[in-house]
Amino acid sequence: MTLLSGQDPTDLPGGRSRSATAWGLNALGVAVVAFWFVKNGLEQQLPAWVWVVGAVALAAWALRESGRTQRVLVVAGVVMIVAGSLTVVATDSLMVVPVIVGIVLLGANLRVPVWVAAVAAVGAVVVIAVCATVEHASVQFVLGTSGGLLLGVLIGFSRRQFRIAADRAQQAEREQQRAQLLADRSRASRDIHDVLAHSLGGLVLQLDAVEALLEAGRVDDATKRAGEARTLAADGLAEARRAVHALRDDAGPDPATAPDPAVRTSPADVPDANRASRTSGDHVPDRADLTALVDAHRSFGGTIAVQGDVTLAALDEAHRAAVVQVVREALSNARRHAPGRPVSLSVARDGDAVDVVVANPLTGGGQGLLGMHERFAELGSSATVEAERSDDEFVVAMHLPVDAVAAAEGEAS
Amino acid sequence: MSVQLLANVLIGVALVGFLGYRQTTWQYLDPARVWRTPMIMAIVGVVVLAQTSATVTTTDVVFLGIEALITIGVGLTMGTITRFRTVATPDRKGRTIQSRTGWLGASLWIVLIVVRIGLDVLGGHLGAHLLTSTGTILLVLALNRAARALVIDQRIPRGDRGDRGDRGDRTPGGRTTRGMMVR
Repeated sequence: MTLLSGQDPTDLPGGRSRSATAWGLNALGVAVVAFWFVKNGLEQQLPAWVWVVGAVALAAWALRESGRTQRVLVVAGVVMIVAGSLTVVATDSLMVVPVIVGIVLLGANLRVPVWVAAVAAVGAVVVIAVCATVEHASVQFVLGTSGGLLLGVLIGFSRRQFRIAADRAQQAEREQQRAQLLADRSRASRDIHDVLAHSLGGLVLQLDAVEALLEAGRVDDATKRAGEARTLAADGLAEARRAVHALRDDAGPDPATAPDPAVRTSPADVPDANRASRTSGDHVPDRADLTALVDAHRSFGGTIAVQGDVTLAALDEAHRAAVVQVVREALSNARRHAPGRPVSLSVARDGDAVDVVVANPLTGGGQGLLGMHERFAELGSSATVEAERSDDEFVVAMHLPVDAVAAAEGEAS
Repeated sequence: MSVQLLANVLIGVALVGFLGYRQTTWQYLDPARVWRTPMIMAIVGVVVLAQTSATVTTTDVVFLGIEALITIGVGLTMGTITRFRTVATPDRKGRTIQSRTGWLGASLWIVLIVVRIGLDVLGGHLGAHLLTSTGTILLVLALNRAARALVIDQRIPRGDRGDRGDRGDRTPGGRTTRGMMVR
């Protein structure tokens, strides 16, 4: 079944959409019944009205084959039942076939209430019984054809259930895809927020410094600052491009299912393309560590005390990327809310886990804190992040499992 | 024939009178059990019918079919005009939904009785003797209740605020109340 195509092969009016086999079988049925209708009719010298009504029933069956709209199909089904049941007795039960087909057609149609097929079958039984009474046919004949009609009702009901089940499966699939889309959007908005808040916030600080330096007449220092600002802007632009690219390529990072770093870089040579636009190529987003962030923070005029291994060698790619994003957000917050105050960053190996703590005096929370938690929740591992006010500092503390490969290497050395 | 006919009519009237009374008062309704009454009636009806040794004629089939059509039509109408309300205090069985069809529902029962008696008399004259058996009465009633249950099954308020849910499988508490997967 083709999902999201808006068309369900089992629920289409008929004709082209139905399988060629079904169409062929129906066409064969029309031909066979028409043949025997004519042959027996000529032998039995049927009255004119039987010829006419029987032909109408067969025509309705043929119309059902080519019918496109629901209304045509329902009308064809009703005509098959009425005209067919009128001629069942006269044609020695040959014409019960179009009646059964019509009942199946009504029963399987989801736009018709479920009881219609059963009521139509009872109506057909009444018509057949009246004809049998008039023509003195046996009651066994009537009961036998009624059994056939009951079969039609059951087949129609069964096909109806099948179509309902298919409909529901399709709907569930649609809802799941929608949920996936929303999750992707939320991740994209978070990435864009992190990147833009970091680079634009840093840019504002740099430009403030440039302005101050220019007012003080220190043109050389201002030029140096302007150069750093340009680097930061280029980095931010590259990362924004990467985020947008990841969105467009629908191969966005999904660490829970694909922790392999290859997935992150798979949106194809974007980082390489972006690196050309950088003046300082020391910070590649996909092999990120904290060095670049620490350097950037210092270049913005911030004070940062570093402790431990800022290259995060003990973590796998997905966890390292998450740590880098959270530390970037934390440093960005620190600059925004507590400019000029000292920030401490410590990376401590604790058995088979790594604790990363960023602490700075007095900041407030914002959109970024929510993003931090989401980012860690998405890892699907035991990694946790806490961001809270502790005494007179704001502390962002991360706790992450060590990458198995890195742990083995660490023990070997 | 007249004694048997009288007995059957009395049985029918007693049952229908009871059901008619229930139409005009609010009755607790268990969504999972709307199919129970028609099932029991149908089974008893078939058993009783199997014990009657009346010969079936085509006239019987004609009248039975007409009666079935009418009783199904009345049942569908009853299902459609049924009103629901949700009460705050559940009864001993934990049911909170009540239903009622009012005087229109009761008068539909009377229509059904009149049609039944009319067809009995007419069919008896034309030789449709099966029509007057007790089993047939029960089967006709079972058909009526089944048609009503079919409509009610899809109209019943699902959920705790009495809103009309479209699907039965979303009942709070995870209880599947839909008797059959129909729509």
